[in-house]
Amino acid sequence: MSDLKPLPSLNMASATIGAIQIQERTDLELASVAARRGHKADCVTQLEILLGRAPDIGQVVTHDDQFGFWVGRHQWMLCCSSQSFSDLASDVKAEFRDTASVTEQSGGWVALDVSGSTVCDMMERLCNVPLRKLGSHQVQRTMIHQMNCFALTLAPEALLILGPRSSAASLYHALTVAARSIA
Amino acid sequence: MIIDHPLLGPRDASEFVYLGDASLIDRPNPDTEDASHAFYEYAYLRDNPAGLHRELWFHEAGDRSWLVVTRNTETHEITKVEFAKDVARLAGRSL
Repeated sequence: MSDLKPLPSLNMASATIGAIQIQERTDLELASVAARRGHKADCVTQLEILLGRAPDIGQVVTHDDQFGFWVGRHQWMLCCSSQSFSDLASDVKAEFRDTASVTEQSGGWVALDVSGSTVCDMMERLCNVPLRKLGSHQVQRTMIHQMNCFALTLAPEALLILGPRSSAASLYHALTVAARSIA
Repeated sequence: MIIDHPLLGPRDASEFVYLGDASLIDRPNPDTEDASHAFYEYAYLRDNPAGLHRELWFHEAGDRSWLVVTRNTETHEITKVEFAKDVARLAGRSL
């Protein structure tokens, strides 16, 4: 096991603006899974082994320290909250073998926890995700200030935003400006 | 304008990007003798119907799928939305 520590993309402390808290999550490993032709059923079976059940359209499924969510037709993202940072993509590929194409995604995304009683007010200024009726454990891909993001509802009044890591500071800026506008 | 995505349901057209005529799926075979003329027609010539038109849309702020949307160019009414992948496969465009 390596003692290497991942670099945060923002390297800043959490922000509290009004009722909103914004904090980067540096403990997430991500890997995407795309079923190869004719192997969707095999992938669903494997996802059931890993997560308990396969995420259906627009769903997030949590299981112990990992969760997975639906990305597109026959495509999912697997996320693991880990302090060890082994190599999620390699581990997942070993499980799915030739039934799926697995891609390491950890370096592509910044993960921001956004929570607070006014999170819906804030997010409706940023994107068109209907948070108030979305319910828990749902995911929707959306645009925030021209940045393509995933918005995941993992708990009441709490969101996980996955956005492009190379635009992490811009995304953080967009979130803090919106939080300030309702503070 | 609302596009009724086959999996995600009704979504605002602002989430989508328009590519063009769905006939772009029918790329000519470059190995035929008249390939040059076929590619000229494929690249430059388009029908411009007043009425039903099949067009390609990309769900950029969504599941990133390519869709074939049948839209009435006179009323903007959308009568059919299909995955481009399914359309292409039905036409024998994919292995």
